[in-house]
Amino acid sequence: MSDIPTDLLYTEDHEYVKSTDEDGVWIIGITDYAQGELGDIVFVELPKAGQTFGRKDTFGTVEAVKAVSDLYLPISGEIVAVNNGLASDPGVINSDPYGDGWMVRVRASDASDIDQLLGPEEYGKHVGAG
Amino acid sequence: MAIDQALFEGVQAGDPPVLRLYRWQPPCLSFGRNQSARGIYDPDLAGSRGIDIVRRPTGGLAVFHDRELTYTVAAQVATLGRPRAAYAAINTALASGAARMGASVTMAPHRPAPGPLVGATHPCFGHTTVGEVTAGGRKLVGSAMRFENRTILQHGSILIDGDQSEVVSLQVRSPAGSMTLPPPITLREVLGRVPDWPELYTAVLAGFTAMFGTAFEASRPTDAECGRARDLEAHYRNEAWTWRM
Repeated sequence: MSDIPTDLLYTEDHEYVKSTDEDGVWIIGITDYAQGELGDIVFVELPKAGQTFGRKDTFGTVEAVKAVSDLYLPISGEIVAVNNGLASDPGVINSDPYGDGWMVRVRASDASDIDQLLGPEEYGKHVGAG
Repeated sequence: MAIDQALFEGVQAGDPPVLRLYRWQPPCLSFGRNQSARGIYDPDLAGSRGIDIVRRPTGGLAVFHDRELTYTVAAQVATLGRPRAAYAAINTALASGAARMGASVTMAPHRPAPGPLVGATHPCFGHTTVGEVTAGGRKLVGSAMRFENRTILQHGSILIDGDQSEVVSLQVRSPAGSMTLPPPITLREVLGRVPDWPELYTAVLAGFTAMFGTAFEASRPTDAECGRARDLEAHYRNEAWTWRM
């Protein structure tokens, strides 16, 4: 059973969106379900701070043993911080996806993007449906 | 690689699933999409031996393509499931194909990942991952995947002969410990003979046919796929891509 915190928002592609103390800035990562499905993560490729993306744009890739998967940004905006520690220790995404395994902080450019995300109950149903 | 990418894009756009079986001429060293290669492998040495080098869109580590059969599968999630399920299904098909030739094979148990990919110097066949097709505890088929737009592209190499030592021999300096890796196993060793191409193709195709539950329709890439592959060829021949890390 994967962990689905109730204070986060989610996408159908298994990214999560977490609020921060800073208005309009959100933390993005992949969910516990996603890390479990991928298996041992050995590589992460993330953008640089200052880059901008649209909603659902590919913002990086993650490689578990053998499988390279795209990462899709749940909200449009500017990357304001990147978890550079993942480069040397990508396995932390497996061990702590919602904590130290965060990937990027994004300053949202369109507040309505948040309305498109799934709540924890909806995401739970999505995961349950495969 | 360009043809595989073109087929992959077609399946993402709604084309039926694809199984492609092929060999390489000249022999080629392929890198995984995210593996370190710059400063580790020697392009001049490879060139002097008549060996091409390419970087795949799929993950994993270096494979030497010579006395082997390469397979490609492209399928949407709706056909084979998400990556883990698709990986298991494809390995089942490969094991079935090997068994049809008389090979006694098993699926590898779970092993911890060998560590972060950055700086890793061991070849694909230097580590066995859960579910991979093995014989006598040694790896017979090495596979790697790309997942994009709810579609998987999986590559793999079925070893017919050889020991993949070329991978290490093309490194600038042989890393400590690399030569102590257990060698992979080959169809020659498992079967006690080298299967001819028709037997190998037929067995592998039969394994995939059983797994998909439907017969494949033999075809060559369409004009549109060939055209797209020609466009993509520049990318896969670009040294900035091949030696990107």
